[in-house]
Amino acid sequence: MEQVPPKPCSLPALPEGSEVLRLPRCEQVALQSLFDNDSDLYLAFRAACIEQFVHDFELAAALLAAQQDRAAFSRLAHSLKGVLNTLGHTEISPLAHALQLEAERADWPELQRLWLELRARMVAAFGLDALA
Amino acid sequence: MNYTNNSVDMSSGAYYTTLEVAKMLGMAVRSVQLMVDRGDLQAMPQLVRAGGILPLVTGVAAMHGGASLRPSGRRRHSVHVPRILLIEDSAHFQGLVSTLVKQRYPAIELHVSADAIAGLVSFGHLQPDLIIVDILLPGMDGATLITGLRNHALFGNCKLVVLTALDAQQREPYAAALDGVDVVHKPRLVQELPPLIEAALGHLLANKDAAEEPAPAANGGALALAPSEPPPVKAKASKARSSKPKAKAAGKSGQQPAG
Repeated sequence: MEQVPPKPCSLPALPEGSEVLRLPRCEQVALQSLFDNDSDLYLAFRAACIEQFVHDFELAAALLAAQQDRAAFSRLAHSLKGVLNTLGHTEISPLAHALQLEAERADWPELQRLWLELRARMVAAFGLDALA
Repeated sequence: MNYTNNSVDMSSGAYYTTLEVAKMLGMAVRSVQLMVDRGDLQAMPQLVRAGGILPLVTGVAAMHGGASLRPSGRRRHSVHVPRILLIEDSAHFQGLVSTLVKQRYPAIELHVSADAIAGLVSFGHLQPDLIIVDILLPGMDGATLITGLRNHALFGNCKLVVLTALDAQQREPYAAALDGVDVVHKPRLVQELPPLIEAALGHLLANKDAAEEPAPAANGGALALAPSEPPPVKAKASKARSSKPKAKAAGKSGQQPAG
């Protein structure tokens, strides 16, 4: 299981009044430990990811409906695992990793269940309520 | 990013025989034919030439918007524009690498291919100075792709960096292909990729900067010539996967030609 250990750190270096102060703690840690406090880059990446999640959700729905392309479903889960780790959501990424592994062997109803669990966690983490 | 142009101008000479494409890509003719069969390359009706009937393959030119190659396959540039080819299927990481390169190295051209086959074709056409490749890609096993790239006839001095979300344990099946290759774990992309770009392209960036400087004054010309030797690379990148390069890329502003 992939783990990206967040570095234990305080957050005094974050600029006051910044949008980053409204980010979840795990994302603030990622900003510091993985993005060297480049908040512009982190926020741009985060915004682009949220935009792309809409397409990812649509792709997952299409793949689950067709029940044919396990490799594509596995790659999608793999991509989400990397994105979630990079954004600091190491508490959700194991779900994506499990889905990646199960995509190669589990039956489709089980993949549907795993996907809905991952999707719900992502919706909650990124405020994607409009997609729920 | 490098968008494709599927129009083909036969009058421009932007088409190649199967044999020519095979030579450009360093692949067997049969492999090129398979790419045509899969639709990765576009084949035109046969053309009668002296010495035989040769099928034409236009996909290489069509995918990249025209003929910018000399007959020898080399790029035409009076000033060498540093060029990176990213082979990555994740839109998320395509975007992050593009933003990072645009932000820190606006002089670099970044081209993106979303799968292994298109990446191989682009590699033969673009002849990048640095190729950044994901391991898990549609179209071809990552180890096969990396091995194919390193054995490519045109690989030459091209540098290779692998970008992956696989951790060290998950990379073990690819150990042979990754031997001696710089590997960046995706979550650490922002920290680890810039020093590797500088290590690979730093001398080209310095040369380009020197070439773009205003012409020196007549009385100072001799002292203001660009150096004939590339300057030392700013950041030394290690091969270790656990490396944590600390060098920060110099910030620049400007427009990225592509990417």
